[in-house]
Amino acid sequence: MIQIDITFVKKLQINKNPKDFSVLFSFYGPKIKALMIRSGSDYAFAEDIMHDTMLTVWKKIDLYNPVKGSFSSWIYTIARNNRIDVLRKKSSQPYVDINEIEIMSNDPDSEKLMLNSQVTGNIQKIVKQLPEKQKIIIEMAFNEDLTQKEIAKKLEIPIGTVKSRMRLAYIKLKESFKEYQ
Amino acid sequence: MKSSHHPDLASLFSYSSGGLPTQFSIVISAHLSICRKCSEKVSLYNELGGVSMEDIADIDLSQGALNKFMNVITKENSDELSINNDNKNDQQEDKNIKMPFPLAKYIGSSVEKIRWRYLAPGIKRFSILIEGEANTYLSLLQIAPGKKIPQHTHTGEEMTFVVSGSFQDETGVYKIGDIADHDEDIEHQPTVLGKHPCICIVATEGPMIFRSFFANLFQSFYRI
Repeated sequence: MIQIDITFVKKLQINKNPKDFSVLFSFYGPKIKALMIRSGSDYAFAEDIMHDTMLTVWKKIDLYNPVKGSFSSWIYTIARNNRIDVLRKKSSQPYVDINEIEIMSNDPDSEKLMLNSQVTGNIQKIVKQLPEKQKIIIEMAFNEDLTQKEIAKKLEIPIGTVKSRMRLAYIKLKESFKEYQ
Repeated sequence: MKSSHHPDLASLFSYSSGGLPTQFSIVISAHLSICRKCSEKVSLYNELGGVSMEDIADIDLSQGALNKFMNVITKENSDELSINNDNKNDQQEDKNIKMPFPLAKYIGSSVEKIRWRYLAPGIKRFSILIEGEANTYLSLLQIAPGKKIPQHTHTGEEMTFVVSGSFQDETGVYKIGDIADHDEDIEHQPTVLGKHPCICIVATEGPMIFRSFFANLFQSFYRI
């Protein structure tokens, strides 16, 4: 079985071989479909979004930069944007693909959270170490696609508490991230 | 460009997870296009999305999904050269954009070409209509130097990105590239600073609530 790691992705960026891409499709396609169904889509819609997402990945594979984040997070971002676009019946894309931004800032105080593939492999471990209350917020926001208000309603807590936990999740992630770096 | 005021972390979290109304996402996109700090924060939040996706149990694709996809990309592959040329043209056009590029696709690339509408003395507005988002608004405002927006609070969130000029309110001074991320608890009176107009893009959830009777009367006519 072929392992999808940074070497495989780099090879794909250089050769852009459809046969290699079919491996990527078979690995990520079922995950994207599952993610869409988890956030309320029916099977047909979920597969349409999956198809569009993988097509975007194919077209933009050259733009993926491992320094800016993991390959999974890049694909997740594309899938999320596609879903929002279709749901809002819009042709334009309000979300900015971070990997496409030509940052004009040359901020010397930048936190330099350079997310290379070696470090991002540890994100899963970091998330597992987060307090349960923060994990639930992450689960509801990223998997169930709920807004702050919807999360507050479902958990029967004030919206301010939801926001606090979102902020705390970042602080915890950043702290843990530095330990792993 | 260095920003002093950034979106709340909770707003960046929701931007990353797709939980913000489009109007607010557009405002944050404008800020991200010039702010490395916030882009990095969103990148970290995006990692949560990647991890969430990896953790979900797979759901089988329909029969023929792979073949259908392979047929499309095989055709795409043969058209690749022309696509690459198109991208180069896009990049050349982008160099002339004066607005942050996430705004340019909604407003146009030049401030001079905006078709402003009179809103009040010293205040002009260009409304951006977004389908499918009830009770949430997005407006580009041009406010004259020294002009004050009447004291107000909100029925929901208000997020403002400064495109040019600067303003001050009870929470600080906001310059080009800054974001004022206010919730319904903030009552403020923005005042434009300096000799030039302030142009900003504002996403609001629900209408403003003014303290004065005349401002409320004005609001009923102009729906701000």
